Amino acid sequence: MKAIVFSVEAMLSLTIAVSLLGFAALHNAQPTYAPLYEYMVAQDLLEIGLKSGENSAAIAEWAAGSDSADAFLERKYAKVLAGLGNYCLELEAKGKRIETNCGGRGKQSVSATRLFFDGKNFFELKATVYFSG
Amino acid sequence: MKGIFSTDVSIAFFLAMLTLATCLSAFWLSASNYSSSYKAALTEKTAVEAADFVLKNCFPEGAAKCSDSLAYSHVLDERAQTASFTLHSNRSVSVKVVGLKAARGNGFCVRRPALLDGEEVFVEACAEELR
Repeated sequence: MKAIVFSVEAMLSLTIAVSLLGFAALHNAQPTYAPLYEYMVAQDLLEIGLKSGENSAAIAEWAAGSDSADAFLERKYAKVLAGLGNYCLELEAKGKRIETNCGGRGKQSVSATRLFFDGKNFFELKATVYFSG
Repeated sequence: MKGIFSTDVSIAFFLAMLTLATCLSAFWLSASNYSSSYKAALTEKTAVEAADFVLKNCFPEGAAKCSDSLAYSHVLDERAQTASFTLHSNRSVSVKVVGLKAARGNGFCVRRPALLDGEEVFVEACAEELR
């Protein structure tokens, strides 16, 4: 009788141990700096927009409603994103939005903002980078 | 004496040993998983830090354009295009300025967009674990 009880106990322990092993094997909690890096990239994309005369002029025109500036910025950012990896960029200002490389948009995202001066007014420029985790 | 070799006791002993072995393998698996991912994260950190340092520090330590010790972050010094940057780390790390279409270097690489003469380029930092 004792032995049977021990067998049941051992079987129960084995079941729990196997569950733990499965959990340990499947649970992939790797520490990563990827979100920090993606946040830096979002900041960089805004910086290269603001610090280049050509890009900042295009941003000002785009925010004012120019379609050609919209196309210019999309092309420009598409070229940069092509060298960075599989990122989708969403640029927003004054209720307008540009989406670049957003075919297979990742589930995770980071956002950064800058105050932009177009020569007359200040407005907020927001960049959101989407990526797969 | 006979009881020790009875089927029930033998099965119980076998199951107990199996449980112990499974627990030990679970521990070993978790420990080795953690160890390798920790090493990978450190390499990642080295590359991220190196790229950030070069992007935000004056040439020749970094690649940023400076005037009167004021660094213009994300605006690179023209001389940085052909320069190589030495950074002290317990990992092998190389940082260079590359064009938009340049191939990636060896190891774990990160790229940070910047401007050189008004054109978009990347500061690319690649880190590898020293063997």
